[in-house]
Amino acid sequence: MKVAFFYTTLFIGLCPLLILLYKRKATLFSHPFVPFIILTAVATVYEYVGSIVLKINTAYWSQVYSLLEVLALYYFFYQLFKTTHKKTLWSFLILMLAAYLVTLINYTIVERWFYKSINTVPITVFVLYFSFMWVKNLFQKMEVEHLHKHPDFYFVSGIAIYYASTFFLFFLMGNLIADKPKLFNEYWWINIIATFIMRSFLIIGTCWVKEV
Amino acid sequence: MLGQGSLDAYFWIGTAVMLFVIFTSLFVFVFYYYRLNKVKSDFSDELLRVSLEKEQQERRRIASGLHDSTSGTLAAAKNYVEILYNKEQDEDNKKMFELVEKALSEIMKDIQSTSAHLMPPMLETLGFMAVVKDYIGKVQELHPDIKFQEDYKLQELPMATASAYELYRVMQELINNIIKHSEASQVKISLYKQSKSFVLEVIDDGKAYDFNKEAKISQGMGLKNITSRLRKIKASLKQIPNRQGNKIQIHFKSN
Repeated sequence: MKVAFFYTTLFIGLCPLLILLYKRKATLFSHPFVPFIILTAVATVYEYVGSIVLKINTAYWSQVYSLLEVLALYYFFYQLFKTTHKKTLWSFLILMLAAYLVTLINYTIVERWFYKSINTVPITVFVLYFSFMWVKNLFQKMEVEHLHKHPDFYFVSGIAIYYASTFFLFFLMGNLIADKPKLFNEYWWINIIATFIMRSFLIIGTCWVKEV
Repeated sequence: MLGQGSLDAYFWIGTAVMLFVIFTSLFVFVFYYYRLNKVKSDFSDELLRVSLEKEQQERRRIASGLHDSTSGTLAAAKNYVEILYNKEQDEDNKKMFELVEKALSEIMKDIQSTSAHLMPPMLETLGFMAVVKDYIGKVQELHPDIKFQEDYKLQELPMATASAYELYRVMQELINNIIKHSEASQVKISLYKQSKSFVLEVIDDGKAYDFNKEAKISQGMGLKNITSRLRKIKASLKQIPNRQGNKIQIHFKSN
């Protein structure tokens, strides 16, 4: 049962991209969330082929993913807020890239969770801050009639849920498993469930993506 | 350094708090958003209702002003001209009076038609069907190049006058659009009952258009007014794909 859920969570990461491809409209790919959708699909393929089939250590991928994740999410929120929150966006980008550079320069596989926790803080704050701004903006304008048909609602909710629920996991993981490495899988289920929720939101959101 | 037990507790409590906060925020956000949207939509519905009511009142006022006052004054003027005509001996002047009388009759006829167009007087007395038939008859006279077909399966619409008025305006707008833009040669107007609701159907063989798309992008008020009026009487518009031209159905319930 747990294995089935794990593989379901893993492979539904391909669905948002497949839905976009199925719609066969090139203009749909101009949606600001598309880079994150592509990243999710690439991560799915890599995690299956690289980590499960070829048994390559996930540490390297995790570090590369952190950078791509920052760029994809930054692009998404930049497209949404570039006219109103330019300074805040730039400040967050500098902060996230600075954190990333620090972890990249000092990176060692043994201390990977310590560096992961450093990357986690600015990106979680970034996602939650701009998710809040998105909601605030929505209430101020009140232009969206049907929230449940609005793709950005699913994208923002999905990533906000994911980053909020995995914050303590990534922030404390190094210390949590320091004494009891066998407990890693137990804690990791938080990430699998959060990923499942996020990917489900992304799938629904992608279904509602329309031509601009 | 924190012990494993304390760390564990921090982790679980922290994660639980984050989950609680994010899901509660999401729930509150969605709930209030829809509530606010409902308030906004109710407000715009009310605005719409008031503006349509005002428009109707104003039409009624202008129509009755034209009919009762202006037409009355013109009728009196026509009588005076007739008296002058009878008293006049000079043939040239008589011809002039004849022309004035003819012009006054034309003006009175025009006023009558404008007044009926503004507020169909038969709607309250003879009902929707009579007004529609009368309107189509007049349109046919003005546009002999278009063949108007009528197919009414109902004797009368069991509908309040206010709603019938809005429906009449919608039909009038649809017909006007066909005349102005579609270059149609045939138009069919049908009215029938479909299960528990009624359907007013307008089919033409002119240029096809997408009602919803046009209503969104159009600068004019015609299509937007149709949508507003239909919302007011809780009717819906369906555009049925047609091989040639357009097929528009208005679905409504009696009230």
